[in-house]
Amino acid sequence: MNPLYLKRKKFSVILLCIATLFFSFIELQESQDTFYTECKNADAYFLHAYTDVTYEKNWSRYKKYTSIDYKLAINNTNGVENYAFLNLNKYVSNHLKKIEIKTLKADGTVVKLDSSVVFKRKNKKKIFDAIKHPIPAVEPGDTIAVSYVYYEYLKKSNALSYVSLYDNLPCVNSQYSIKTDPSSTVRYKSYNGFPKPEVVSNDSVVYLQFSVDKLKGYQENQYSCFPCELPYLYYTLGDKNSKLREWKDVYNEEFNSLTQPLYIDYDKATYYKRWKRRIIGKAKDSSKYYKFNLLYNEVLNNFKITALVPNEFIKSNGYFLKEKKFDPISIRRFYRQILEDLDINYWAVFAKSKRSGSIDQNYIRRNEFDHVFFAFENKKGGLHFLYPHSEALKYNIDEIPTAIYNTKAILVKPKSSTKKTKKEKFITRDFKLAKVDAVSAAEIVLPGMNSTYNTVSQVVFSKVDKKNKKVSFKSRLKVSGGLSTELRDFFNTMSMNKEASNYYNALSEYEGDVSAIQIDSVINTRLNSKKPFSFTMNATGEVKNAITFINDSLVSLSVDKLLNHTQIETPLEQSELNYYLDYNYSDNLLMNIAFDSKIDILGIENGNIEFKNDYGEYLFKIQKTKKNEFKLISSYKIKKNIILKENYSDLKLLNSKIKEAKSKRFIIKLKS
Amino acid sequence: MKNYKTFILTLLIILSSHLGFAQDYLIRSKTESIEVKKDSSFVKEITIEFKKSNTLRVYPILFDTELEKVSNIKLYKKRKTRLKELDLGKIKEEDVELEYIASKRVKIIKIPKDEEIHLKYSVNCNELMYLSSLSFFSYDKIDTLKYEIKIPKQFDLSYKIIYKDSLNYFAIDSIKTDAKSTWNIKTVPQKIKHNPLQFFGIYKNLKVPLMKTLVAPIQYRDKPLEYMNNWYYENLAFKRGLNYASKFKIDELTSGITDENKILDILYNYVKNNFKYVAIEIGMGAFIPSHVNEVFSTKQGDCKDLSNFLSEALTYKGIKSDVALAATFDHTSNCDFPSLSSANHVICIAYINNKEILLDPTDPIHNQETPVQSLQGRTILIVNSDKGKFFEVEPFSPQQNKIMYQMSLNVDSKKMLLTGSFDIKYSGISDNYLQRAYTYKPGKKFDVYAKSYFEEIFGNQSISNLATSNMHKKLSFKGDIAISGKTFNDGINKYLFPDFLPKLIETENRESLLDGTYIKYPFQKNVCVNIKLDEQIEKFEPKEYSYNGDGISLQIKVSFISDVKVKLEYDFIFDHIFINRNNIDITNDILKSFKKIINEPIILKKKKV
Repeated sequence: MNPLYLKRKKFSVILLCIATLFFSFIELQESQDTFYTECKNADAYFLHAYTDVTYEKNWSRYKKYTSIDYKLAINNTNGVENYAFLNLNKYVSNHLKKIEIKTLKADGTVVKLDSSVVFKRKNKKKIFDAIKHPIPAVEPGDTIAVSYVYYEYLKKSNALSYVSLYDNLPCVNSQYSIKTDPSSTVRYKSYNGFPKPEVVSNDSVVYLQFSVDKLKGYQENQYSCFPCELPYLYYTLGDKNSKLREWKDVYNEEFNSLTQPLYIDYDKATYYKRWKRRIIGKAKDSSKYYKFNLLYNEVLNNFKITALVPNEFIKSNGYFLKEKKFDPISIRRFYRQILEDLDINYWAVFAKSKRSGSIDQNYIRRNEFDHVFFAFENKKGGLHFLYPHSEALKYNIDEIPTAIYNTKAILVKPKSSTKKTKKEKFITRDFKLAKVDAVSAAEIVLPGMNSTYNTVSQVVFSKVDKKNKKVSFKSRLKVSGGLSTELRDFFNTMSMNKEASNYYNALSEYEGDVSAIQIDSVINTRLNSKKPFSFTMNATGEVKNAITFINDSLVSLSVDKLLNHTQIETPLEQSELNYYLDYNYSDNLLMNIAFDSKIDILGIENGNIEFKNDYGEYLFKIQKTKKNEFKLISSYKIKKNIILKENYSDLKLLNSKIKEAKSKRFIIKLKS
Repeated sequence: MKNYKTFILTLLIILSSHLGFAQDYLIRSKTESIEVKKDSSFVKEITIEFKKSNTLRVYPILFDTELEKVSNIKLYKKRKTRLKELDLGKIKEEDVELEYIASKRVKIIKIPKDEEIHLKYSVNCNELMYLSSLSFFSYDKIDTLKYEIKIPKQFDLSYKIIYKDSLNYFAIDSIKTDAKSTWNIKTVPQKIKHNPLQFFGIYKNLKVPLMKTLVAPIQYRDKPLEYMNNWYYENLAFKRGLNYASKFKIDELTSGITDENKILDILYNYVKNNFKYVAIEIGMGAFIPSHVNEVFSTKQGDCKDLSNFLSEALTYKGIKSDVALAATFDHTSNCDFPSLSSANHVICIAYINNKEILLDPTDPIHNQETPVQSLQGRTILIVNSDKGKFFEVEPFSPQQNKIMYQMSLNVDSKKMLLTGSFDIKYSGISDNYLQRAYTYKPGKKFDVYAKSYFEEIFGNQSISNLATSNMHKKLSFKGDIAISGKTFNDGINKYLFPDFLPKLIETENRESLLDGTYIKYPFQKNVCVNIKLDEQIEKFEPKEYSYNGDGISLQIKVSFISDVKVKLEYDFIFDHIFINRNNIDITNDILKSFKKIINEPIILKKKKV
């Protein structure tokens, strides 16, 4: 063996090691540099942000102390204007144990905020509202040091928390700690790579500390989902021998409490039976599913849904049937009673809004489910969803909020072979909720319609009246799927909320005529209660600001205000977080324009746009269909429910195609 | 969720007729008896007669907890000619949530339905200066509004009524005895609507009828300005006197500098950049500033606090300076009468070489060489050691705020494309709108903003290589532009749509403007576009369009330069700050005409080869 070769090899290995070390050092330095550059460029950044939580046993409850301690370095005037304030919510303002706010001046001096000015109480009974108080003497280059402790009493079952360390500003070091006595057990689970804790557990204390260095700042937007992609933690406290939560607990605590009907006021309760007999009428021998539809439709078509009134909380279904109204709780109790009475096989459905993160079926967490509703079996064994009406929207069968489209949900059903007793069906005078001992649970993915069903389709037939220089049209607008659900929800919310309605009317006046397709009168509207719940509106009107009569033989067409597609906006240069959409969809316009003479169109040869990428499609087409007619098609489609941050530019590119189409013009030459 | 706002709004207008909302109150009469006491306090006895209504209503009594005491609230129902007192129940009271820290609260009175109801209550106040206006407008429908003002002989009432012409009925008389004078006013107040459009910069309720008042001691009879000046000046005196720390900092900042203009520049920028805007309006603290040393140590305050500190700092450095009460563009009244109701703003005024220099430390983009944008053409009340004086703020001329666009484009007929470059220069305060974005969205954020801003101005064309300069605090931009789909050919003609021409009023997106739109400043906009063609054209006579109105004009010209060059130019002059009933028609006519011109192609006859 050639020793020189060995020598060379050794040398090469050393060189390789040095190079690896050097480059990993550079990489580390680069990531550090990137972070500190981000800190420097931000309006402000956290030097540290610590949250220390202590749970003390207090009889059958916990007393929880939360200590917040952070130092915020202010970089510029924007930082002063936006962050030099003490912000406390109403609960914290009224449950403070101690507070100290200081401005650490760049010259080394310290200015303290006099908390007696912030918490000036005129009488002892008065409670504080949420507080936003300026922190004094803050200038660019200074650091704000905030430290306060507040307390709360918690039921044992509520000793839990979801913890995210992210904020919209970067943070050099962020920590979260949990401290309790050794008789309690802390159970935790980390998600998306939340760091492992340092643990101290001995005879006197259980202490966990989670710490992260160099946290980026993230700006949340309406499509962001922090729990979907950023690290977070969930933990609970319990007695040493406490059991993990089971689905029967979820059913008892989160379904029974919401849906179990009451049987307290006997007179009103019996009205239910009379009402049911009256509505079913001659159909008494029909199937239970047919009867269910009769009862459901009667409420859908003839009952109001009102806000919850506290003194109606313990009223039976009969009371609400007499009043011809329900509220968001009583409607659930009503559904449950008719499902039970008609002996229809049904499940409790527990679901979670998409942008609140996914359900963890393996570790059943509290405060997880913001959607609790029903699923029932039809005569063919198929499953239907029954979502309770809200004040703003009456849901059709199988119609669910768009926020839970395509999300995981859990179907839960009690295991019981015996017939239910009255106590198991109703809450009676002792106000005890029924409890089941065993349930079966199954994970499903809730249905979410795709861009074939989630559509806005507008078909416009227009006629050009050259003599009077007018363009009239007849149109049909069809909105279906998730767009129909959201649109109806929005309209009803507007009709109930004067301020919101005034605001939107003002916004509409401010924006002026944003569409060239201006509707004068609505001929009819129709809502189809079957999936995809199409809402159709037929109307007539006039096309304005799109077609200009230049002279007797020339007409110009401006596409700009003809197109008003429902776009996913892309105002940023790049996105640091994925976009989580409720659903994918398409928005289509077909416009037919007929003249009373033959036409030629200039610009048609370069007029079309056909664009596709992984996330969407855009088609713009202008085509002569008859000697005196042409059609314009504009179709925008979003194909995915998640737009990955690294592919945000694809969405921008898709939107740029609409912009390109909107700037188009055509010249129509009229032939005599 | 998505941007189907437009779509929803269109539908909303159509369907809004189906929405039914609660009505405003119907009030038969409202009477305020105001009695000024010898000890300079005053008390208001207020009676409101509500008409019968079939719905339960709530009436808010708004008051300042530091200045006013509301008492003797009583509710009566009317039985023929008699009044029967009703049980008020528990009166709900809560803080009024405002954007600033204030001492305003509201008592909520339930007005029973199906009865004619009389509500009576008293308001006591110890600060006579707080009696500064009587309003002759209401958001409710009031049939008759009456004021009775009793002034003891030790005082004198001065007043000024504004927008009286908008009242259908107005009567005023006074009776004078040895002991007092009594003023009786009866009117049908103007009903105004809530204007949510103000969120979008459209101010519709600015011209409402109002009586501005000042009750002064008798020795100031016919000298209301002097009284107001002296009262404010004396209050200021308690809030002045720099301590060592403040002086040390001021000296440190201006060390070695003797030029007064430089000192002013340094101190003005120091206050603008290092002091946070925080409005704390507790009682008379809404009008009188905090002490200058408190403002310095907390590095925060509102207009009066920061202006008073700046004025004191300038005075300390030997630059003569005062503060002035002012009314910004969005205030109902101009500050041309000495009353607290006249003003909603305080600025600092410095004097260098006998020249008044207005300084507004709450306006981050203002520089001392220009008038304050929010005060153009307004009157301010300078508070000084003499008798005070009114000062007219000079407005800008459109020529001072010139916006210049130079574009150079080349036509590529095959690709139906125009490509080229543009150069934009702003002068005066015509870039204020962009300067705010430049200040609040520094760096890359501004680049993104500016690109999107100018793409919209050029009718949604694509721009690239945008470069921004803010030399001498004046913004200018350069970049490249690609305009597609605007040029067409047939065998005889070349067609060119000029709808990429920058829009006339950059800050507005509507095609026609609404009454009350705040345009911000007068300006002149000069646009010149040179277009090089890729085919020869026949010579044509220049096409000119001209529109003129009071304070507004537009000249457009399309000219033949050579057989491959054409030039588009326009010159737009707008000499108003607001769109109002006097200029709305001509403004919208010009906007419409401009739109029509750019919607039509320029037809260029091809040269026969």
